[in-house]
Amino acid sequence: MTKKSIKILLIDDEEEFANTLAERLELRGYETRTAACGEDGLGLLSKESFDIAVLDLMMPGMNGLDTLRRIKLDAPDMPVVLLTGHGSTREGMEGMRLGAFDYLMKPLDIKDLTLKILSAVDASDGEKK
Amino acid sequence: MSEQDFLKTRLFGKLTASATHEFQNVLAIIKESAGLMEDVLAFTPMENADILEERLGMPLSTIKKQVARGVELVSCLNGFAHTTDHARIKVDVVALSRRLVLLTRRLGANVGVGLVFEEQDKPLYLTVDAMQFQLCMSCAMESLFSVLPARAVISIGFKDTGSPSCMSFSVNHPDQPLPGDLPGHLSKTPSWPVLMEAAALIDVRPEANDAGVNLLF
Repeated sequence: MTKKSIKILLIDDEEEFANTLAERLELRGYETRTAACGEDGLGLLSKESFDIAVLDLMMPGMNGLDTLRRIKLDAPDMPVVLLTGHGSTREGMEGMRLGAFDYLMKPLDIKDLTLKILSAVDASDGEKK
Repeated sequence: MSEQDFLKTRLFGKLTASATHEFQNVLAIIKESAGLMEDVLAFTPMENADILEERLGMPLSTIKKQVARGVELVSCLNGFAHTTDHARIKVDVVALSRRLVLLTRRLGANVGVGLVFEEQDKPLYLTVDAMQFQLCMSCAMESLFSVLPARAVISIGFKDTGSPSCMSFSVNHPDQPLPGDLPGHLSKTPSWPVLMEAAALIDVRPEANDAGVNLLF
């Protein structure tokens, strides 16, 4: 899959962060949708299909791990990359145990994120074949 | 530590951890915004793009450098705050020390003393009251701050002595001899008796010698 056709669901309660990151990803040719909480993200997921979700772990209300559990029920084949704060690697590891592809620490390096997105989508495509 | 003291310390840690998490988000937004400005310059065809890049390149690079500095400090403070979560826990003493050294660097700089952490790849685990252990480290450094001349450097590292493990605070100065009878001077500092008392509670043995201080545990 080329990055032109990768559609990303970005779930983060820090809306300015999510919107800025979405814009940077779009400048690189990705298609993005943003959601400000787990519930909104699941709502979008019920209406549209995505190639990958990028999910913040620390969110008020339905937290990242709970959202991840629901995503894995609703769209088990869609890879998920988690975002954690520095010092929250334990939650990142827990997320991987629950089926996340990997986790990255905020603040992000955009190159690290795009590489992670590409390898997650490639791995997911490989599994589907 | 009494139950009330533990609860007060934990409250301080909890609020600091929460606030530092928010700071991480603030820094992440600043970093992404600076990144977006760079992207706009790189991806959008525009007249005088070279001049714009030249003029904005330096401030954008400064923003990114300072964000990285802020992230390192805030992450250390966040990790430090989380050490109040448990009265006793298994910790990597190497990571704990690296973090405390970074957070203490400004206190050293205030009296003209530099701090260097000697990197070690291998973790060293210890089940301990992490706050109490950090109090011991802090007292050892403060005691040295009181007696060392300006421009002295304290190197914090681990000596492979098997059992017990040894954290060393080795001192040196680029151009003048260190004070003679360092153990004698250290024992007279206000922090030394605090260190001895704090260390006794967690089976840590402080030792002063002419090269600095060792914590054996």
